[in-house]
Amino acid sequence: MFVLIVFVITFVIYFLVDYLFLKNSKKFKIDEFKYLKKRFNYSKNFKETKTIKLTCSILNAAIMGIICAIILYCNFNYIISIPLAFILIILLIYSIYGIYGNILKRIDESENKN
Amino acid sequence: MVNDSIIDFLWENFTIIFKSMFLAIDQQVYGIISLLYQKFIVLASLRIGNDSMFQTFADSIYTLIVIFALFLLAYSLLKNMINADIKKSGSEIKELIINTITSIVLVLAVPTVFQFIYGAQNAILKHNVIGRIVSPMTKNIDFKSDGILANCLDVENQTDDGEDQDEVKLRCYGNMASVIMFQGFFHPNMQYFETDSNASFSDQFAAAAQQITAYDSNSPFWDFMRVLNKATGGTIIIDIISKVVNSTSEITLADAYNYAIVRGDFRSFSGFQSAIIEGRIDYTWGVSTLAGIFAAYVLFLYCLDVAVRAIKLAFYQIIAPIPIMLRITKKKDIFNNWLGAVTRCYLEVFTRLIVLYFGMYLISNVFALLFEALDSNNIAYNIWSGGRSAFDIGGKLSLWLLVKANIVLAVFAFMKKAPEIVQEIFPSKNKFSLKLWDHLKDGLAIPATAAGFVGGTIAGGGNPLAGFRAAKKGWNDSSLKGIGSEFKRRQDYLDAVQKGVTPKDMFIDKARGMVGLDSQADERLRTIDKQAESVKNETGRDIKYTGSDGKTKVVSANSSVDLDKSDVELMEVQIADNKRKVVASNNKKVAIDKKMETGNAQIQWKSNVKSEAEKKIDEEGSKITHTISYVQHEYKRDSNGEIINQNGAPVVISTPKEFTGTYAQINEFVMHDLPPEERKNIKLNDIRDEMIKKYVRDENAKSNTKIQTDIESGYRSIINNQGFKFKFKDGNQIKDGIITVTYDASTNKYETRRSEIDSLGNIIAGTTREITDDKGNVLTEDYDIIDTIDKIAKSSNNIYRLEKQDIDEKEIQGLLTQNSDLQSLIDSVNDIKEAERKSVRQRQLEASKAYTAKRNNGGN
Repeated sequence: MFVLIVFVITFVIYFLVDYLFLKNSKKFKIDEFKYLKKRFNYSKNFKETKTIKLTCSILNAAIMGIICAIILYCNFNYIISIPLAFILIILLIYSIYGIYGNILKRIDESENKN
Repeated sequence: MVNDSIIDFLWENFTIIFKSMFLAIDQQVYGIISLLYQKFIVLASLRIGNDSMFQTFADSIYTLIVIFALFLLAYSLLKNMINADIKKSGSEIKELIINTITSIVLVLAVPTVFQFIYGAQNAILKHNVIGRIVSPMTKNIDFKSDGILANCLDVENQTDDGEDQDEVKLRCYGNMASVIMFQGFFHPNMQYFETDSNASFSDQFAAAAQQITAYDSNSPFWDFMRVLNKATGGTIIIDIISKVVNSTSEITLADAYNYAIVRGDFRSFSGFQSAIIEGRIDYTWGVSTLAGIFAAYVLFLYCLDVAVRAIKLAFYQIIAPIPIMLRITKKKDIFNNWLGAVTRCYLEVFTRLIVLYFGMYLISNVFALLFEALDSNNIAYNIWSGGRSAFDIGGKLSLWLLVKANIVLAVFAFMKKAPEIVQEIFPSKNKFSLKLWDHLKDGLAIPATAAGFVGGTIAGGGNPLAGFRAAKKGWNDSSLKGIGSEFKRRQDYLDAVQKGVTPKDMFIDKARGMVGLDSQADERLRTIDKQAESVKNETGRDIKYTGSDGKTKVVSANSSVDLDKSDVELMEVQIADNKRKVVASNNKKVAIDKKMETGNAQIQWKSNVKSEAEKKIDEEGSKITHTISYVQHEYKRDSNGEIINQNGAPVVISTPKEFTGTYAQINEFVMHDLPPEERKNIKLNDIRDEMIKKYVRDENAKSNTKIQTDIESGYRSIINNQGFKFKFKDGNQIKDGIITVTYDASTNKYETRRSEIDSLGNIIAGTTREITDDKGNVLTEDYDIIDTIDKIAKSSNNIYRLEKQDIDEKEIQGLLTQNSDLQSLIDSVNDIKEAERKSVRQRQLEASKAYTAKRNNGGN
């Protein structure tokens, strides 16, 4: 139950802050899309959209929620928890954004075909 | 006299009332000064988050922030790892790894480092290191009143369990500062007392103070003294305690001073009101209050700054992971800013303490300072004492005490200015403001938030969300601007409703905006652009255009077709392509016409020459004649005139003959006199051409000014400038040649020459008057040249004409018609879409869009 509460609270707060205050700005170019663009080499006409911003915010919030829940649940010492969090974050970002990047790649290719 | 007595009576009572009133205020004000000083010391050693509960909370927050910072760091690392554009050198990668490891170690070490610096701070404060350096405690407070103060301090130390003596003395410094200040305005009137004129100022003052007594059984002074006596078991022999023990109910002014210094309590002075009324105590009421308030104000600002500093330091500790992690991503400025801020914030309290101790040191030594100032060699002494002894100033004591109070105030003024002075010498971002508002502004965030919530809710028509927004604004800015914004927002809302926007529209648009979708109006407008519109081909012709698949699509006459945005774009492309084709054809025609102009000019020249010749040939009495040859056939006759037959057939005699005459004569002769069998051998056209040539070649004809003029002006220049090209055979190769015609004024002849000498080999330009044409015929001068030019020009013109005919006028016309038809279809579609767009804008959605767009853009 504790894990779930921490996850939900972190997810909601992070999502609201990340999306409403950062990504919901028209001029704001998100790092996530830059990362995905460099990793998956999308075509030049594949632009960042509001839907991508929204999805990235959700994914970020989910990653943060998972990490926070795990770290606070385990309640390790700093020496263990911080490196552990760092490794988990790297793994989660790489894997989750790998899946999402592939989905976007398919969308990009289908748009180019049309 | 009566009136004067009444006025004196009223004035006397008036001042008594005011003196009592201000004395009561002073007791509080000067008590507060002592309290504020102690508060400053407590706040200086304060550490937010020292207790276990807060520590747990801070640790959790710290962990979360670390995770957040690691999250950003992970992104940055992954982005750099896959960034193919940046070819990192080995040293850069090494630096990145070192930075990462260093940052993680720093994050882990931050709590320990802060623990250490707080420990160091506590040690410095507890042992009064700064105080001992700046204001050595070796000079104990000694009020020369039978050691009362020193003994009281000793007792005080014993009564406070575990409290360090330094801390007690430190606290006494605040009390003493306020007492010394107070003495400046509340002191014995020396005129009433006899003191040893050879004694020092302070001795004279102490002696006088001990002569003023008061009694108030309810005074807290007596409570203290009773406790003191009980605690020490009556072993300490002090006069004042013996007074209590011996039931002596009187205390002196000196006792009250000492008590205030030890305890910071000024209430004992209320017992001296009778002495004030009697005039034995000189009390500068009003001024003392203002001075006390000023000193309290300065100390209050110090306390605020130190309290804020304690919170800031705790905050810096909590957010430490963010700047530390960001230094990995080469944003070292943020880390440096954080480090600088922490350092400045940490050292801030010590600079304040240095200033404070320095000020206290000055205040505690005011006596000594003044004594030195009143040395007989000093100008001030002479002014004050009029050349008498420094200890013989008598009634001047009040002036002396006021000066003392003034110095204390000056010290406080300096303390107030000192942070500014430090700021000027060592510029930092933590500015010390003299305005109370600047210090209180941050503290007003909470009331501003609360007021913002209430006001925002009211301004927002009872909407709690409006209250929340205004509260947020209040929290951020410590202002009530959020309420005004909510009022404006409410007005916007009402305006939108007045325009026909429903709350449902607003809610839907807001919700759509939240999830990243366009407003309803935008969505509808986008749909209008994309959707197909049915339009009718009313041109009476079939309209063709190339579709996206490259195939030709046909819109039959008087039939309808559904066109969407892509169809319109294709048609526009088609129109543009047609326009390009039409323009290219027209340009080609213009170029051909220009070439033909040259040919036409050459032909015209030939025509002019020919006309001139024909005119000369045809004119009556023409001198130009021609000789034709023919054969006259006759029967052979004998002398009798009879036809001679041979072998049964008459014998025919053929005689060659010639006829010379003008062209008209020749024509007449040929048509009438020449036998029919000979007539067919004579070609009049050839004769005429020969005559024309002859005319041109004739010496007379050569000097014909008309031809010369033609050659000289205009036509010649055309030929000279441009020449005329012709093709000729050089062996088996076809080559280009150029012929030019020049006029030689010295010989009055026109000549031909070849400028293209290399193509014709042995003929040198300008040296011959003979050239050959492309058939190898030798061209003589004059008419042959002109005739050749004419032929070439005609030939070229024919070629150009054929080229021009290749440009299909019908095709151009077809393209233009097609463009017109396509444009009419596009216009019809655009008209329909525009009408629909206007319809959308005119409806509620437009107003809704305007309202929500304003909101989404951050407008309040």
